[in-house]
Amino acid sequence: MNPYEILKIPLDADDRIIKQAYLQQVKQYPPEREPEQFKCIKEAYDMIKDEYSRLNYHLFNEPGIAFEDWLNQAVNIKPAEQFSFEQFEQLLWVAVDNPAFLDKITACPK
Amino acid sequence: MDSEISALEHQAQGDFDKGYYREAAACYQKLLNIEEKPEWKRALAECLLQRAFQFAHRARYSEAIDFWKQYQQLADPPFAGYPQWLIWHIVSEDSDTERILSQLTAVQLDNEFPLLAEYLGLEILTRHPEYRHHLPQQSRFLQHYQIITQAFAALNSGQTEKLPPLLNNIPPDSAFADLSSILLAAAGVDKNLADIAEDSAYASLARLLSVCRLNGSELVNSLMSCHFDQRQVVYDILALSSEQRQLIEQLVDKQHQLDDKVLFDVVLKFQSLTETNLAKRFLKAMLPAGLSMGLILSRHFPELTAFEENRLKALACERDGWHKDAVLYWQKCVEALKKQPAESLKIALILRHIAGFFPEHEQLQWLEESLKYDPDDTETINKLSHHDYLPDEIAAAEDISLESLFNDLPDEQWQQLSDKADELMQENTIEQWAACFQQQAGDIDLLKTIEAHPEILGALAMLKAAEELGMDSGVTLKILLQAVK
Repeated sequence: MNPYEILKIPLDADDRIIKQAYLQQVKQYPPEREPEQFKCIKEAYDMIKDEYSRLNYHLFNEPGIAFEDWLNQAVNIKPAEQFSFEQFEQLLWVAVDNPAFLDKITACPK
Repeated sequence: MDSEISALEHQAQGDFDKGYYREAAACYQKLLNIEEKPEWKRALAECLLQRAFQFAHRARYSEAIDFWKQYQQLADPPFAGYPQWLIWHIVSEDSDTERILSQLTAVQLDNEFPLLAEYLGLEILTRHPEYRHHLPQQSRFLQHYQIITQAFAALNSGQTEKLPPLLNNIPPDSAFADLSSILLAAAGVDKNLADIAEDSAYASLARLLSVCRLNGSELVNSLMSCHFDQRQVVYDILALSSEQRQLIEQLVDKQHQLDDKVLFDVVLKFQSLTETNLAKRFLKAMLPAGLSMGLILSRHFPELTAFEENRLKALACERDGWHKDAVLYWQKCVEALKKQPAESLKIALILRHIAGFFPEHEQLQWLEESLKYDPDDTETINKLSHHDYLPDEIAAAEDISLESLFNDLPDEQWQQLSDKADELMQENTIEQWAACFQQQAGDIDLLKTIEAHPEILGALAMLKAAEELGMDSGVTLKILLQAVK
Protein backbone atom coordinates (compact mmCIF):
# COMPACT_ATOMS: atom_id res chain seq x y z
CA MET A 1 0.00 0.00 0.00
CA ASN A 2 1.40 3.37 -0.99
CA PRO A 3 -0.27 5.92 1.29
CA TYR A 4 0.86 8.79 -0.91
CA GLU A 5 -0.95 7.31 -3.89
CA ILE A 6 -4.07 6.65 -1.87
CA LEU A 7 -4.16 10.19 -0.49
CA LYS A 8 -3.03 11.57 -3.86
CA ILE A 9 -0.24 13.69 -2.44
CA PRO A 10 3.44 14.16 -3.31
CA LEU A 11 6.15 12.31 -1.41
CA ASP A 12 7.32 15.51 0.27
CA ALA A 13 3.90 16.46 1.66
CA ASP A 14 3.94 17.86 5.20
CA ASP A 15 1.53 17.33 8.13
CA ARG A 16 -0.84 20.05 6.93
CA ILE A 17 -1.10 18.82 3.34
CA ILE A 18 -1.49 15.22 4.48
CA LYS A 19 -4.29 16.10 6.89
CA GLN A 20 -6.00 18.23 4.25
CA ALA A 21 -5.83 15.38 1.72
CA TYR A 22 -7.10 12.92 4.32
CA LEU A 23 -10.11 15.07 5.21
CA GLN A 24 -10.88 15.60 1.55
CA GLN A 25 -10.82 11.85 0.91
CA VAL A 26 -12.97 11.17 3.96
CA LYS A 27 -15.48 13.67 2.65
CA GLN A 28 -15.52 11.80 -0.63
CA TYR A 29 -15.68 8.37 1.01
CA PRO A 30 -17.47 8.76 4.35
CA PRO A 31 -17.22 5.68 6.62
CA GLU A 32 -20.98 5.15 6.75
CA ARG A 33 -21.26 4.93 2.95
CA GLU A 34 -17.87 3.56 1.87
CA PRO A 35 -16.54 1.61 4.86
CA GLU A 36 -13.91 -0.34 2.90
CA GLN A 37 -12.56 2.70 1.10
CA PHE A 38 -12.58 4.68 4.33
CA LYS A 39 -10.62 1.95 6.11
CA CYS A 40 -8.01 2.10 3.40
CA ILE A 41 -7.79 5.90 3.57
CA LYS A 42 -7.52 5.85 7.36
CA GLU A 43 -4.74 3.24 7.19
CA ALA A 44 -2.88 5.37 4.65
CA TYR A 45 -3.27 8.45 6.83
CA ASP A 46 -2.04 6.66 9.94
CA MET A 47 1.04 5.52 8.05
CA ILE A 48 2.25 9.07 7.36
CA LYS A 49 0.25 11.44 9.55
CA ASP A 50 3.21 12.85 11.53
CA GLU A 51 6.95 13.13 11.27
CA TYR A 52 7.55 10.00 13.34
CA SER A 53 5.22 7.79 11.31
CA ARG A 54 6.65 9.19 8.07
CA LEU A 55 10.18 8.42 9.21
CA ASN A 56 9.08 4.90 10.06
CA TYR A 57 7.29 4.51 6.72
CA HIS A 58 10.15 5.83 4.58
CA LEU A 59 12.70 3.75 6.42
CA PHE A 60 10.96 0.45 5.80
CA ASN A 61 9.17 1.15 2.54
CA GLU A 62 10.28 2.36 -0.82
CA PRO A 63 7.25 4.05 -2.33
CA GLY A 64 7.76 3.23 -5.96
CA ILE A 65 5.46 3.81 -8.88
CA ALA A 66 3.24 1.45 -10.82
CA PHE A 67 4.71 0.05 -14.03
CA GLU A 68 1.69 1.53 -15.87
CA ASP A 69 2.66 5.01 -14.64
CA TRP A 70 6.17 4.58 -15.94
CA LEU A 71 4.81 3.23 -19.22
CA ASN A 72 2.46 6.17 -19.54
CA GLN A 73 5.44 8.45 -19.63
CA ALA A 74 7.68 6.16 -21.67
CA VAL A 75 5.09 5.95 -24.47
CA ASN A 76 3.66 9.41 -24.09
CA ILE A 77 2.71 10.20 -27.66
CA LYS A 78 0.08 12.24 -29.43
CA PRO A 79 -2.76 9.88 -30.39
CA ALA A 80 -4.02 10.06 -33.95
CA GLU A 81 -7.29 11.90 -34.45
CA GLN A 82 -7.47 11.94 -38.22
CA PHE A 83 -5.92 9.58 -40.73
CA SER A 84 -4.58 10.27 -44.18
CA PHE A 85 -5.68 8.02 -47.04
CA GLU A 86 -2.28 6.30 -47.05
CA GLN A 87 -2.56 5.56 -43.36
CA PHE A 88 -6.12 4.32 -43.74
CA GLU A 89 -5.11 2.09 -46.62
CA GLN A 90 -2.18 0.67 -44.63
CA LEU A 91 -4.52 -0.12 -41.75
CA LEU A 92 -7.06 -1.70 -44.11
CA TRP A 93 -4.41 -3.98 -45.57
CA VAL A 94 -3.23 -5.33 -42.25
CA ALA A 95 -6.79 -5.72 -40.96
CA VAL A 96 -8.12 -8.07 -43.63
CA ASP A 97 -8.28 -11.18 -41.51
CA ASN A 98 -10.54 -10.90 -38.51
CA PRO A 99 -10.56 -14.12 -36.46
CA ALA A 100 -14.11 -13.48 -35.22
CA PHE A 101 -15.33 -13.12 -38.79
CA LEU A 102 -13.50 -16.26 -39.84
CA ASP A 103 -15.23 -18.07 -36.97
CA LYS A 104 -18.52 -16.85 -38.35
CA ILE A 105 -17.87 -18.32 -41.78
CA THR A 106 -16.92 -21.67 -40.32
CA ALA A 107 -19.88 -22.01 -37.96
CA CYS A 108 -22.17 -24.62 -39.41
CA PRO A 109 -25.73 -23.38 -40.09
CA LYS A 110 -28.35 -25.39 -38.18
CA MET B 1 -29.62 -59.04 -40.93
CA ASP B 2 -32.23 -56.78 -39.39
CA SER B 3 -30.42 -56.71 -36.09
CA GLU B 4 -27.15 -55.90 -37.91
CA ILE B 5 -28.81 -52.95 -39.68
CA SER B 6 -30.37 -51.79 -36.46
CA ALA B 7 -27.01 -51.94 -34.66
CA LEU B 8 -25.31 -50.05 -37.50
CA GLU B 9 -28.02 -47.41 -37.51
CA HIS B 10 -27.73 -47.05 -33.75
CA GLN B 11 -23.98 -46.68 -33.98
CA ALA B 12 -24.25 -44.12 -36.78
CA GLN B 13 -26.65 -41.98 -34.78
CA GLY B 14 -24.46 -42.29 -31.67
CA ASP B 15 -21.33 -41.21 -33.57
CA PHE B 16 -23.21 -38.31 -35.13
CA ASP B 17 -24.48 -37.12 -31.74
CA LYS B 18 -20.95 -37.23 -30.37
CA GLY B 19 -19.64 -35.18 -33.30
CA TYR B 20 -17.74 -38.17 -34.81
CA TYR B 21 -18.89 -37.29 -38.32
CA ARG B 22 -16.30 -39.37 -40.18
CA GLU B 23 -17.31 -42.53 -38.30
CA ALA B 24 -21.00 -41.69 -38.66
CA ALA B 25 -20.54 -41.11 -42.40
CA ALA B 26 -18.85 -44.54 -42.77
CA CYS B 27 -21.79 -46.22 -41.00
CA TYR B 28 -24.36 -44.45 -43.17
CA GLN B 29 -22.36 -45.37 -46.28
CA LYS B 30 -22.50 -49.05 -45.24
CA LEU B 31 -26.23 -48.75 -44.65
CA LEU B 32 -26.72 -47.18 -48.07
CA ASN B 33 -24.81 -50.04 -49.63
CA ILE B 34 -27.45 -52.35 -48.16
CA GLU B 35 -30.41 -50.23 -49.08
CA GLU B 36 -30.78 -46.74 -50.56
CA LYS B 37 -33.06 -45.30 -47.92
CA PRO B 38 -33.69 -41.52 -48.33
CA GLU B 39 -33.26 -40.83 -44.57
CA TRP B 40 -29.83 -42.50 -44.57
CA LYS B 41 -28.89 -40.47 -47.61
CA ARG B 42 -29.97 -37.30 -45.86
CA ALA B 43 -28.04 -38.34 -42.75
CA LEU B 44 -24.89 -39.03 -44.78
CA ALA B 45 -25.26 -35.62 -46.47
CA GLU B 46 -25.53 -33.98 -43.04
CA CYS B 47 -22.34 -35.80 -41.92
CA LEU B 48 -20.49 -34.50 -44.99
CA LEU B 49 -21.71 -30.95 -44.39
CA GLN B 50 -20.51 -31.11 -40.79
CA ARG B 51 -17.15 -32.45 -41.93
CA ALA B 52 -16.86 -29.56 -44.41
CA PHE B 53 -17.34 -27.05 -41.59
CA GLN B 54 -14.95 -28.94 -39.33
CA PHE B 55 -12.22 -28.59 -41.95
CA ALA B 56 -13.08 -24.93 -42.60
CA HIS B 57 -12.79 -24.28 -38.86
CA ARG B 58 -9.23 -25.59 -39.02
CA ALA B 59 -8.60 -23.27 -42.02
CA ARG B 60 -8.30 -26.35 -44.29
CA TYR B 61 -10.49 -24.79 -46.93
CA SER B 62 -9.72 -27.08 -49.88
CA GLU B 63 -10.91 -30.16 -47.92
CA ALA B 64 -13.89 -28.15 -46.73
CA ILE B 65 -14.75 -27.29 -50.33
CA ASP B 66 -14.53 -30.95 -51.39
CA PHE B 67 -16.73 -32.22 -48.57
CA TRP B 68 -19.31 -29.53 -49.28
CA LYS B 69 -19.41 -30.61 -52.91
CA GLN B 70 -20.02 -34.22 -51.80
CA TYR B 71 -22.78 -32.95 -49.50
CA GLN B 72 -24.35 -31.04 -52.38
CA GLN B 73 -24.47 -34.18 -54.53
CA LEU B 74 -26.48 -36.04 -51.88
CA ALA B 75 -28.68 -33.26 -50.48
CA ASP B 76 -31.74 -31.56 -51.91
CA PRO B 77 -31.75 -27.80 -52.49
CA PRO B 78 -31.66 -25.26 -50.91
CA PHE B 79 -28.13 -26.20 -49.88
CA ALA B 80 -26.96 -25.18 -46.45
CA GLY B 81 -23.65 -23.32 -46.23
CA TYR B 82 -23.57 -22.23 -49.85
CA PRO B 83 -22.36 -18.66 -49.17
CA GLN B 84 -19.74 -20.05 -46.76
CA TRP B 85 -18.60 -22.43 -49.49
CA LEU B 86 -18.16 -19.43 -51.78
CA ILE B 87 -16.20 -17.59 -49.09
CA TRP B 88 -13.92 -20.60 -48.60
CA HIS B 89 -13.07 -20.36 -52.29
CA ILE B 90 -12.18 -16.69 -51.86
CA VAL B 91 -10.22 -17.19 -48.65
CA SER B 92 -8.22 -20.06 -50.11
CA GLU B 93 -7.65 -18.10 -53.36
CA ASP B 94 -8.91 -21.13 -55.22
CA SER B 95 -8.45 -21.13 -59.00
CA ASP B 96 -12.18 -21.67 -59.39
CA THR B 97 -13.09 -18.51 -57.48
CA GLU B 98 -13.62 -16.21 -60.44
CA ARG B 99 -15.76 -18.75 -62.27
CA ILE B 100 -17.92 -19.29 -59.20
CA LEU B 101 -18.27 -15.56 -58.55
CA SER B 102 -19.45 -15.03 -62.11
CA GLN B 103 -22.40 -17.35 -61.37
CA LEU B 104 -23.64 -15.11 -58.57
CA THR B 105 -26.82 -13.14 -59.21
CA ALA B 106 -27.45 -9.55 -58.09
CA VAL B 107 -30.21 -10.75 -55.74
CA GLN B 108 -27.87 -13.24 -54.07
CA LEU B 109 -25.15 -10.63 -53.66
CA ASP B 110 -27.44 -7.80 -52.52
CA ASN B 111 -30.03 -9.67 -50.45
CA GLU B 112 -29.42 -13.33 -49.86
CA PHE B 113 -25.76 -13.64 -48.92
CA PRO B 114 -24.82 -10.64 -46.74
CA LEU B 115 -21.90 -12.50 -45.16
CA LEU B 116 -20.38 -13.22 -48.54
CA ALA B 117 -20.98 -9.66 -49.75
CA GLU B 118 -19.28 -8.22 -46.67
CA TYR B 119 -16.19 -10.36 -47.10
CA LEU B 120 -16.10 -9.92 -50.85
CA GLY B 121 -16.18 -6.12 -50.39
CA LEU B 122 -13.08 -6.26 -48.19
CA GLU B 123 -11.26 -8.56 -50.62
CA ILE B 124 -12.06 -6.31 -53.60
CA LEU B 125 -10.76 -3.25 -51.72
CA THR B 126 -7.53 -4.99 -50.81
CA ARG B 127 -6.15 -8.24 -52.20
CA HIS B 128 -8.41 -8.95 -55.18
CA PRO B 129 -9.78 -5.84 -56.94
CA GLU B 130 -10.11 -7.98 -60.10
CA TYR B 131 -13.00 -9.98 -58.57
CA ARG B 132 -15.35 -7.05 -59.18
CA HIS B 133 -15.23 -7.69 -62.95
CA HIS B 134 -16.90 -11.08 -62.38
CA LEU B 135 -19.81 -9.76 -60.34
CA PRO B 136 -23.24 -8.76 -61.67
CA GLN B 137 -22.67 -5.23 -62.92
CA GLN B 138 -26.19 -4.03 -62.12
CA SER B 139 -25.88 -5.04 -58.42
CA ARG B 140 -26.26 -2.53 -55.59
CA PHE B 141 -23.06 -4.03 -54.23
CA LEU B 142 -21.03 -2.55 -57.09
CA GLN B 143 -22.86 0.79 -56.87
CA HIS B 144 -21.87 1.02 -53.20
CA TYR B 145 -18.36 -0.03 -54.08
CA GLN B 146 -18.20 2.95 -56.47
CA ILE B 147 -19.28 5.29 -53.67
CA ILE B 148 -16.57 3.90 -51.41
CA THR B 149 -13.90 4.47 -54.06
CA GLN B 150 -15.12 8.07 -54.43
CA ALA B 151 -14.89 8.46 -50.65
CA PHE B 152 -11.32 7.12 -50.77
CA ALA B 153 -10.49 9.69 -53.44
CA ALA B 154 -11.98 12.48 -51.31
CA LEU B 155 -9.94 11.36 -48.30
CA ASN B 156 -6.85 11.12 -50.49
CA SER B 157 -7.25 14.69 -51.70
CA GLY B 158 -8.01 15.97 -48.19
CA GLN B 159 -11.60 16.86 -49.04
CA THR B 160 -13.04 15.24 -45.96
CA GLU B 161 -16.10 17.47 -46.09
CA LYS B 162 -17.23 15.44 -49.09
CA LEU B 163 -17.34 12.22 -47.11
CA PRO B 164 -20.62 12.62 -45.16
CA PRO B 165 -22.81 13.42 -48.21
CA LEU B 166 -21.17 10.66 -50.21
CA LEU B 167 -21.38 8.01 -47.50
CA ASN B 168 -24.96 8.91 -46.67
CA ASN B 169 -25.78 6.96 -49.82
CA ILE B 170 -24.60 3.74 -48.21
CA PRO B 171 -27.59 2.18 -46.42
CA PRO B 172 -27.18 0.28 -43.11
CA ASP B 173 -27.81 -3.07 -44.81
CA SER B 174 -25.05 -2.53 -47.37
CA ALA B 175 -21.98 -4.73 -47.43
CA PHE B 176 -19.99 -1.49 -47.04
CA ALA B 177 -21.99 -0.02 -44.12
CA ASP B 178 -19.33 -0.79 -41.49
CA LEU B 179 -16.54 0.47 -43.72
CA SER B 180 -18.51 3.67 -44.30
CA SER B 181 -18.72 4.32 -40.52
CA ILE B 182 -15.01 3.59 -40.10
CA LEU B 183 -14.13 5.97 -42.94
CA LEU B 184 -16.06 8.78 -41.26
CA ALA B 185 -14.23 8.03 -38.01
CA ALA B 186 -10.85 8.00 -39.79
CA ALA B 187 -11.59 11.40 -41.31
CA GLY B 188 -12.45 12.75 -37.86
CA VAL B 189 -16.06 13.41 -38.86
CA ASP B 190 -17.65 10.91 -36.51
CA LYS B 191 -15.58 9.29 -33.82
CA ASN B 192 -17.95 6.54 -32.83
CA LEU B 193 -16.68 3.07 -33.65
CA ALA B 194 -18.75 1.27 -31.04
CA ASP B 195 -21.36 0.16 -33.56
CA ILE B 196 -18.96 -2.10 -35.44
CA ALA B 197 -19.75 -5.66 -34.34
CA GLU B 198 -16.84 -7.85 -33.23
CA ASP B 199 -17.57 -10.39 -35.94
CA SER B 200 -17.78 -7.81 -38.70
CA ALA B 201 -15.29 -8.31 -41.54
CA TYR B 202 -14.12 -4.77 -40.69
CA ALA B 203 -13.80 -5.30 -36.92
CA SER B 204 -9.98 -5.53 -37.05
CA LEU B 205 -9.84 -2.25 -38.96
CA ALA B 206 -12.09 -0.54 -36.41
CA ARG B 207 -9.99 -1.92 -33.57
CA LEU B 208 -6.73 -0.71 -35.13
CA LEU B 209 -8.20 2.73 -35.59
CA SER B 210 -9.18 2.76 -31.91
CA VAL B 211 -5.69 1.61 -30.93
CA CYS B 212 -4.22 4.60 -32.80
CA ARG B 213 -6.32 6.87 -30.64
CA LEU B 214 -4.69 5.62 -27.44
CA ASN B 215 -1.62 6.67 -25.54
CA GLY B 216 0.71 5.30 -22.85
CA SER B 217 -0.07 2.02 -21.14
CA GLU B 218 -3.50 1.75 -22.79
CA LEU B 219 -1.86 1.89 -26.19
CA VAL B 220 0.75 -0.69 -25.24
CA ASN B 221 -1.83 -3.05 -23.73
CA SER B 222 -3.93 -2.85 -26.88
CA LEU B 223 -0.93 -3.48 -29.11
CA MET B 224 -0.28 -6.73 -27.24
CA SER B 225 -3.15 -8.37 -29.09
CA CYS B 226 -2.17 -7.02 -32.53
CA HIS B 227 -0.01 -9.04 -34.85
CA PHE B 228 3.41 -7.91 -35.99
CA ASP B 229 2.35 -6.21 -39.26
CA GLN B 230 -0.47 -4.37 -37.52
CA ARG B 231 1.89 -3.09 -34.83
CA GLN B 232 4.36 -1.81 -37.43
CA VAL B 233 1.62 0.20 -39.16
CA VAL B 234 0.44 1.65 -35.83
CA TYR B 235 4.05 2.57 -34.91
CA ASP B 236 4.42 4.41 -38.20
CA ILE B 237 1.12 6.26 -37.90
CA LEU B 238 1.89 7.36 -34.34
CA ALA B 239 5.52 8.13 -35.24
CA LEU B 240 6.92 6.15 -32.33
CA SER B 241 10.66 6.40 -31.78
CA SER B 242 12.80 3.35 -32.41
CA GLU B 243 13.37 2.95 -28.67
CA GLN B 244 9.63 3.08 -27.97
CA ARG B 245 9.06 0.42 -30.65
CA GLN B 246 11.76 -1.78 -29.11
CA LEU B 247 10.19 -1.38 -25.68
CA ILE B 248 6.76 -2.44 -26.93
CA GLU B 249 8.17 -5.36 -28.91
CA GLN B 250 9.99 -6.57 -25.82
CA LEU B 251 6.77 -6.36 -23.79
CA VAL B 252 4.89 -8.22 -26.53
CA ASP B 253 7.55 -10.95 -26.53
CA LYS B 254 7.28 -11.39 -22.79
CA GLN B 255 3.58 -10.73 -22.44
CA HIS B 256 2.89 -14.12 -20.89
CA GLN B 257 5.62 -13.81 -18.29
CA LEU B 258 5.51 -10.19 -17.22
CA ASP B 259 6.67 -10.75 -13.65
CA ASP B 260 8.47 -8.23 -11.43
CA LYS B 261 11.89 -9.32 -12.69
CA VAL B 262 10.94 -8.79 -16.33
CA LEU B 263 9.38 -5.40 -15.61
CA PHE B 264 12.48 -4.37 -13.67
CA ASP B 265 14.75 -5.32 -16.58
CA VAL B 266 12.51 -3.49 -19.04
CA VAL B 267 12.55 -0.25 -17.05
CA LEU B 268 16.29 -0.58 -16.47
CA LYS B 269 16.91 -1.01 -20.20
CA PHE B 270 14.58 1.74 -21.35
CA GLN B 271 14.97 4.18 -18.48
CA SER B 272 16.06 6.94 -20.86
CA LEU B 273 12.48 7.09 -22.21
CA THR B 274 11.29 8.81 -19.03
CA GLU B 275 12.57 11.33 -16.52
CA THR B 276 15.46 9.76 -14.61
CA ASN B 277 13.67 10.15 -11.29
CA LEU B 278 10.59 8.29 -12.44
CA ALA B 279 12.57 5.29 -13.64
CA LYS B 280 14.71 5.33 -10.51
CA ARG B 281 11.68 5.40 -8.25
CA PHE B 282 10.34 2.33 -9.99
CA LEU B 283 13.71 0.56 -9.94
CA LYS B 284 14.49 1.33 -6.30
CA ALA B 285 11.17 -0.11 -5.21
CA MET B 286 11.50 -3.21 -7.39
CA LEU B 287 15.19 -4.04 -6.86
CA PRO B 288 15.43 -7.83 -6.97
CA ALA B 289 17.34 -9.58 -4.21
CA GLY B 290 20.36 -11.52 -5.37
CA LEU B 291 23.88 -11.29 -6.56
CA SER B 292 23.13 -8.65 -9.18
CA MET B 293 21.70 -6.28 -6.57
CA GLY B 294 25.02 -4.64 -5.66
CA LEU B 295 26.08 -4.41 -9.29
CA ILE B 296 22.83 -2.73 -10.34
CA LEU B 297 23.04 -0.24 -7.52
CA SER B 298 26.66 0.70 -8.10
CA ARG B 299 26.16 1.02 -11.85
CA HIS B 300 22.83 2.82 -11.92
CA PHE B 301 22.67 4.52 -8.54
CA PRO B 302 26.21 5.73 -7.83
CA GLU B 303 24.83 8.66 -5.85
CA LEU B 304 23.45 6.51 -3.03
CA THR B 305 24.99 6.68 0.46
CA ALA B 306 26.12 3.48 2.16
CA PHE B 307 23.06 3.67 4.38
CA GLU B 308 20.64 4.07 1.44
CA GLU B 309 22.29 1.32 -0.54
CA ASN B 310 22.06 -1.13 2.35
CA ARG B 311 18.51 -0.07 3.12
CA LEU B 312 17.43 -0.83 -0.46
CA LYS B 313 19.22 -4.17 -0.32
CA ALA B 314 17.54 -4.99 2.98
CA LEU B 315 14.10 -4.10 1.58
CA ALA B 316 14.74 -6.18 -1.54
CA CYS B 317 15.75 -9.16 0.60
CA GLU B 318 12.68 -8.72 2.78
CA ARG B 319 10.40 -8.57 -0.24
CA ASP B 320 11.89 -11.78 -1.65
CA GLY B 321 11.80 -13.55 1.71
CA TRP B 322 15.56 -13.55 2.30
CA HIS B 323 15.20 -12.59 5.95
CA LYS B 324 18.69 -13.50 7.18
CA ASP B 325 20.24 -11.32 4.49
CA ALA B 326 17.78 -8.56 5.30
CA VAL B 327 18.97 -8.54 8.93
CA LEU B 328 22.60 -8.33 7.78
CA TYR B 329 21.86 -5.35 5.56
CA TRP B 330 19.85 -3.63 8.29
CA GLN B 331 22.81 -4.10 10.61
CA LYS B 332 25.01 -2.46 7.99
CA CYS B 333 22.51 0.40 7.91
CA VAL B 334 22.91 0.83 11.66
CA GLU B 335 26.69 0.87 11.31
CA ALA B 336 26.44 3.53 8.60
CA LEU B 337 24.06 5.63 10.68
CA LYS B 338 26.28 5.48 13.72
CA LYS B 339 28.81 7.52 11.76
CA GLN B 340 26.24 10.26 11.21
CA PRO B 341 25.08 12.67 13.87
CA ALA B 342 21.44 12.95 14.97
CA GLU B 343 20.29 9.64 13.52
CA SER B 344 19.54 7.97 16.86
CA LEU B 345 15.85 7.60 16.18
CA LYS B 346 16.50 5.86 12.83
CA ILE B 347 18.92 3.47 14.54
CA ALA B 348 16.34 2.69 17.23
CA LEU B 349 13.63 2.09 14.64
CA ILE B 350 15.88 -0.24 12.64
CA LEU B 351 16.87 -2.21 15.73
CA ARG B 352 13.20 -2.67 16.60
CA HIS B 353 12.54 -3.67 13.00
CA ILE B 354 15.33 -6.26 13.17
CA ALA B 355 13.79 -7.63 16.38
CA GLY B 356 10.70 -8.44 14.33
CA PHE B 357 12.64 -11.07 12.38
CA PHE B 358 13.36 -13.11 15.50
CA PRO B 359 11.18 -15.27 17.76
CA GLU B 360 9.91 -13.46 20.85
CA HIS B 361 12.54 -14.71 23.26
CA GLU B 362 15.34 -13.56 20.96
CA GLN B 363 13.95 -10.08 20.47
CA LEU B 364 15.03 -8.72 23.86
CA GLN B 365 18.62 -7.85 22.96
CA TRP B 366 17.51 -5.81 19.93
CA LEU B 367 14.77 -4.03 21.82
CA GLU B 368 17.04 -3.38 24.75
CA GLU B 369 19.68 -1.92 22.47
CA SER B 370 17.11 0.25 20.73
CA LEU B 371 16.32 1.94 24.03
CA LYS B 372 19.90 3.25 24.11
CA TYR B 373 18.96 5.37 21.09
CA ASP B 374 15.34 6.15 21.94
CA PRO B 375 14.79 5.57 25.66
CA ASP B 376 11.25 6.96 25.83
CA ASP B 377 9.55 4.55 23.44
CA THR B 378 6.51 3.34 25.37
CA GLU B 379 5.80 0.42 23.10
CA THR B 380 9.28 -1.05 23.45
CA ILE B 381 9.30 -0.54 27.22
CA ASN B 382 5.92 -2.19 27.36
CA LYS B 383 7.15 -5.19 25.36
CA LEU B 384 10.16 -5.53 27.59
CA SER B 385 8.03 -5.34 30.73
CA HIS B 386 6.32 -8.55 29.64
CA HIS B 387 9.71 -10.19 30.00
CA ASP B 388 10.24 -8.81 33.54
CA TYR B 389 12.67 -6.39 32.13
CA LEU B 390 13.25 -2.96 33.64
CA PRO B 391 15.81 -0.81 31.97
CA ASP B 392 18.67 -0.12 34.38
CA GLU B 393 18.60 3.60 33.71
CA ILE B 394 14.93 3.90 34.57
CA ALA B 395 15.22 1.81 37.70
CA ALA B 396 18.13 3.90 38.88
CA ALA B 397 16.40 7.13 37.98
CA GLU B 398 13.32 6.08 39.89
CA ASP B 399 15.29 5.36 43.03
CA ILE B 400 17.30 8.52 42.84
CA SER B 401 14.40 10.83 42.08
CA LEU B 402 12.01 9.42 44.62
CA GLU B 403 14.75 9.50 47.16
CA SER B 404 15.82 13.01 46.26
CA LEU B 405 12.23 14.24 46.40
CA PHE B 406 11.43 12.77 49.73
CA ASN B 407 14.84 12.85 51.41
CA ASP B 408 15.24 16.53 50.84
CA LEU B 409 12.02 17.25 52.71
CA PRO B 410 12.26 18.68 56.21
CA ASP B 411 11.00 16.25 58.85
CA GLU B 412 7.92 18.32 59.47
CA GLN B 413 6.83 18.22 55.82
CA TRP B 414 7.73 14.56 55.53
CA GLN B 415 5.43 13.80 58.47
CA GLN B 416 2.71 15.94 56.94
CA LEU B 417 3.09 14.11 53.63
CA SER B 418 3.13 10.72 55.27
CA ASP B 419 0.00 11.45 57.30
CA LYS B 420 -1.81 12.73 54.26
CA ALA B 421 -0.82 9.61 52.29
CA ASP B 422 -2.10 7.35 55.08
CA GLU B 423 -5.34 9.27 55.13
CA LEU B 424 -5.75 8.93 51.42
CA MET B 425 -4.93 5.23 51.49
CA GLN B 426 -7.80 4.66 53.87
CA GLU B 427 -10.27 6.78 51.91
CA ASN B 428 -9.54 5.59 48.35
CA THR B 429 -10.21 2.28 46.69
CA ILE B 430 -7.93 0.69 44.11
CA GLU B 431 -10.30 1.81 41.37
CA GLN B 432 -10.10 5.40 42.55
CA TRP B 433 -6.30 5.31 42.59
CA ALA B 434 -6.25 3.95 39.12
CA ALA B 435 -8.68 6.61 37.95
CA CYS B 436 -6.58 9.36 39.57
CA PHE B 437 -3.48 8.52 37.55
CA GLN B 438 -4.89 6.81 34.46
CA GLN B 439 -4.61 9.95 32.35
CA GLN B 440 -0.89 10.31 33.06
CA ALA B 441 -0.41 6.55 32.52
CA GLY B 442 -1.36 6.84 28.85
CA ASP B 443 -1.96 3.46 27.26
CA ILE B 444 -1.00 1.45 30.37
CA ASP B 445 -3.96 -0.13 32.14
CA LEU B 446 -3.22 1.20 35.62
CA LEU B 447 -6.01 -0.72 37.33
CA LYS B 448 -4.59 -4.04 36.15
CA THR B 449 -1.06 -2.96 37.07
CA ILE B 450 -2.09 -2.03 40.64
CA GLU B 451 -3.97 -5.29 40.99
CA ALA B 452 -0.86 -7.18 39.91
CA HIS B 453 1.56 -5.06 41.97
CA PRO B 454 -0.33 -3.61 44.97
CA GLU B 455 3.00 -2.45 46.43
CA ILE B 456 2.97 0.59 44.16
CA LEU B 457 -0.15 1.90 45.93
CA GLY B 458 2.06 3.39 48.66
CA ALA B 459 4.06 5.35 46.11
CA LEU B 460 0.91 6.55 44.39
CA ALA B 461 -0.52 7.66 47.74
CA MET B 462 2.63 9.67 48.41
CA LEU B 463 2.36 11.30 45.01
CA LYS B 464 -1.31 12.11 45.48
CA ALA B 465 -0.55 13.54 48.89
CA ALA B 466 2.28 15.66 47.44
CA GLU B 467 -0.12 16.90 44.78
CA GLU B 468 -2.82 17.78 47.32
CA LEU B 469 -0.32 19.54 49.53
CA GLY B 470 0.87 21.57 46.56
CA MET B 471 4.31 19.94 46.23
CA ASP B 472 5.87 19.43 42.78
CA SER B 473 5.54 15.76 41.98
CA GLY B 474 5.61 15.88 38.14
CA VAL B 475 9.10 14.55 37.56
CA THR B 476 8.73 11.77 40.05
CA LEU B 477 5.37 10.75 38.66
CA LYS B 478 6.87 10.36 35.20
CA ILE B 479 9.65 8.19 36.50
CA LEU B 480 7.25 6.14 38.57
CA LEU B 481 5.02 5.52 35.60
CA GLN B 482 7.96 4.41 33.52
CA ALA B 483 8.86 2.00 36.25
CA VAL B 484 5.29 0.73 36.31
CA LYS B 485 5.54 0.11 32.58
